[in-house]
Amino acid sequence: MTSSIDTLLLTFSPLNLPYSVAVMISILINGVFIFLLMALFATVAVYFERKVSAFMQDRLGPMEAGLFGFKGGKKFWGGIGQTIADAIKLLTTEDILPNDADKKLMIIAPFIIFMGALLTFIGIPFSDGIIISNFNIGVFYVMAMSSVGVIGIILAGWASNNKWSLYGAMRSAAQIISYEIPLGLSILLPVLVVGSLEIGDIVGWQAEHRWFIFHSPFMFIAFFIFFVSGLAETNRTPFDIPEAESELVAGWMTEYSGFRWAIFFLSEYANMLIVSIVASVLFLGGWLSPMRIFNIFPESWLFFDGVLWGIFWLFTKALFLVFVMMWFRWTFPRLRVDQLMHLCWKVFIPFALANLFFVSILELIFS
Amino acid sequence: MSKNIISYFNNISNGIKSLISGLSLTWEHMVKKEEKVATLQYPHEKFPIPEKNIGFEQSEYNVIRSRLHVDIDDCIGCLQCERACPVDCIKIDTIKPPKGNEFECGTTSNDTKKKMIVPRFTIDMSECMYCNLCVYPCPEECIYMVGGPNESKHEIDYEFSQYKRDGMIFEFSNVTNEDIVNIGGESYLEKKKAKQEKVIEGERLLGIKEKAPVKRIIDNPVSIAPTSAAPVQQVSNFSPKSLSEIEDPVIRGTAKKIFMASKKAGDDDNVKIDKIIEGISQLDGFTTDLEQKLLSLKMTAVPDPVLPTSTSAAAVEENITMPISKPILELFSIKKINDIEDPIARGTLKKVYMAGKKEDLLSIEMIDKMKIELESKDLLDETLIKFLEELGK
Repeated sequence: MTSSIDTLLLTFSPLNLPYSVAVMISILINGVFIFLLMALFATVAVYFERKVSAFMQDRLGPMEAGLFGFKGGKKFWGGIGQTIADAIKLLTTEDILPNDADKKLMIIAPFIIFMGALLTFIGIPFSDGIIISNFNIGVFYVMAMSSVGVIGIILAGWASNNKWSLYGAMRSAAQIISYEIPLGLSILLPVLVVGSLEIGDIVGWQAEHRWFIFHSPFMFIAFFIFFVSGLAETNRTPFDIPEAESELVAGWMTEYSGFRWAIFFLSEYANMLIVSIVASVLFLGGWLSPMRIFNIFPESWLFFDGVLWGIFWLFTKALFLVFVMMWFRWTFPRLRVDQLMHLCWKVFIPFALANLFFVSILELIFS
Repeated sequence: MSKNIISYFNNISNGIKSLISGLSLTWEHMVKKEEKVATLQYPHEKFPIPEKNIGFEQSEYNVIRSRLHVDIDDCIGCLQCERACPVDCIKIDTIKPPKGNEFECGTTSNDTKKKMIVPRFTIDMSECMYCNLCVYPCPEECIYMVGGPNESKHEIDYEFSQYKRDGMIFEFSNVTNEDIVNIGGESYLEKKKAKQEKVIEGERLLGIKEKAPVKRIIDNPVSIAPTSAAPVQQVSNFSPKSLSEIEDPVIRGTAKKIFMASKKAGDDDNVKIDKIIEGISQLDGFTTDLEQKLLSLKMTAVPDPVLPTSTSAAAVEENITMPISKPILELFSIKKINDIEDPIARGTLKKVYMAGKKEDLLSIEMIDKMKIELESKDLLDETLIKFLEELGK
């Protein structure tokens, strides 16, 4: 599996640029690409989130804002320009820093959170061979980088000098650190079976055998635990106690406005996409077509496989999981702090450990 | 101990079951959005108005409390509705022709001969309490609540909110100043003028700096006719465009300069042309042809020199019968607006009309206002523009 940085460096080689300049340019290109992807995804996802929530609550959601006079569907899918209008509004509103806030930390915090999301994308594949940098410890890298954001959250909460912000930040830290354990334990299962931390190897195993979600009942439970822990990692309902509108105003984001708040929002939606893509790659066969679920069809039938089809299948799976996240958000009530901890330490961690134990035994018996 | 373990797993399975039932509920609402969505997108779609029956006998009391409307052509000025109104929101003025005046007041649709004209018929809908009591005494059945049982006479209108309270006063009278003068009601006009001047003076004393609406009624009809007729002719004949035909650039430039200076000074067309000829005659390339051309412009620019100075009855009659002034002065009837098919545009135009009528606008000003209003609401299309232009004629 090649990485896009290597590919870009190869294309630059006839220009005889100094190595450092070529690396800088290729990194810049990739960074801009990721940023555009994040912005595009956030724009579209916010629109669909509002629509999904509206329909689930028998409303219509945004219907009036249009693009160049085109509002979209007349009956249900109008207001397609709403998110763009919101984004423009966010970028042009005043950026307020409270007087008593720790201004340096407050300015840095959103960028740490944003860097966490941006750096995670380096290890995220988009299709067979389309990955910015291919590590042999890809899964570990993604796990590590997605937890960087919690530093930014604590900084934001502390620097705001606001009780609600600090409460939100503390809750967020407790929650993210707790849920990282079941998350890591359930990621261990595919790694254990494949024997490699490289994303290409994990998907390769699924191409040869079957999707991991159908590996064994334990793997199905592991997928469930991974996905729900991912919800908690991204601070989404029913685990949104760090933001908890009804209790804490907006949690650690309370004192932020304008552009910095937009960055928080962007990172939140980027994290949703990251969790969904990682879940698809580890358990749902990544960029493999649905024909590969059990690997029972002859090779000549598998014409849906390929790099471009890979992008299509990966994003279909990931966006479906994003939709499930929205579906959860508008269905379930928020958990209380003690219930949250109960769920993590008394349900998910024992189940994840049991999963690990049983899958290890299966591996010992069958391989 | 074993009980605890059993309840632990029971809790988990119950939790999963309730999660699934919750998810299926929201899924159902999302999939069946066609029937479940309850939102009514208000300005675009509206609830139908129920034909409300307030009790007693249906045929008599089945009335919608929407907005009062008067078919002014049928009104005989009997003041019955004004007396019936418990809150005094109806105000009517009438003028009866003196003996010997042969002014034709017209007949109603019931063939009743009208004995007087109604120069003022206002209903203040902000005071109206929708009791419907004014409707019963009317001998000609010309005042009624719109919509519902009266849908055939006037379409339903229950949205007439305004940004200013004045807009709630609806003026139904279509009597023009000429009619009033013809019927011998100069004293009425004078009174009205005095009243409005008082209002303006009051606003000035209160410090209301807002520009008072142009009250055209204040102007004596004597002075309206010629002054509004003359500028129309001037504009059509003599403008800087006529000067563009001059070929020599030096002469053209000088002529235009003089024209603009003269315009600033507020000169007549004749004086303008004289000044231009005087200015360019010293330049090279000035020919007699050019002088003739300019003089010919001067000839056409001269309006008929009817500039009355007295306010005698004879002069009044003479000027009002001038054919030029009539189409510009007279405001077209609101009924013409009913020809528009688009209900939103129609409603908007009616509102503009009623507001404009209060300010005694002329047809041209009214049409301009309508255009601006329509444009601001994005309703203006080619058919509407055509329609409005035809109204102006």
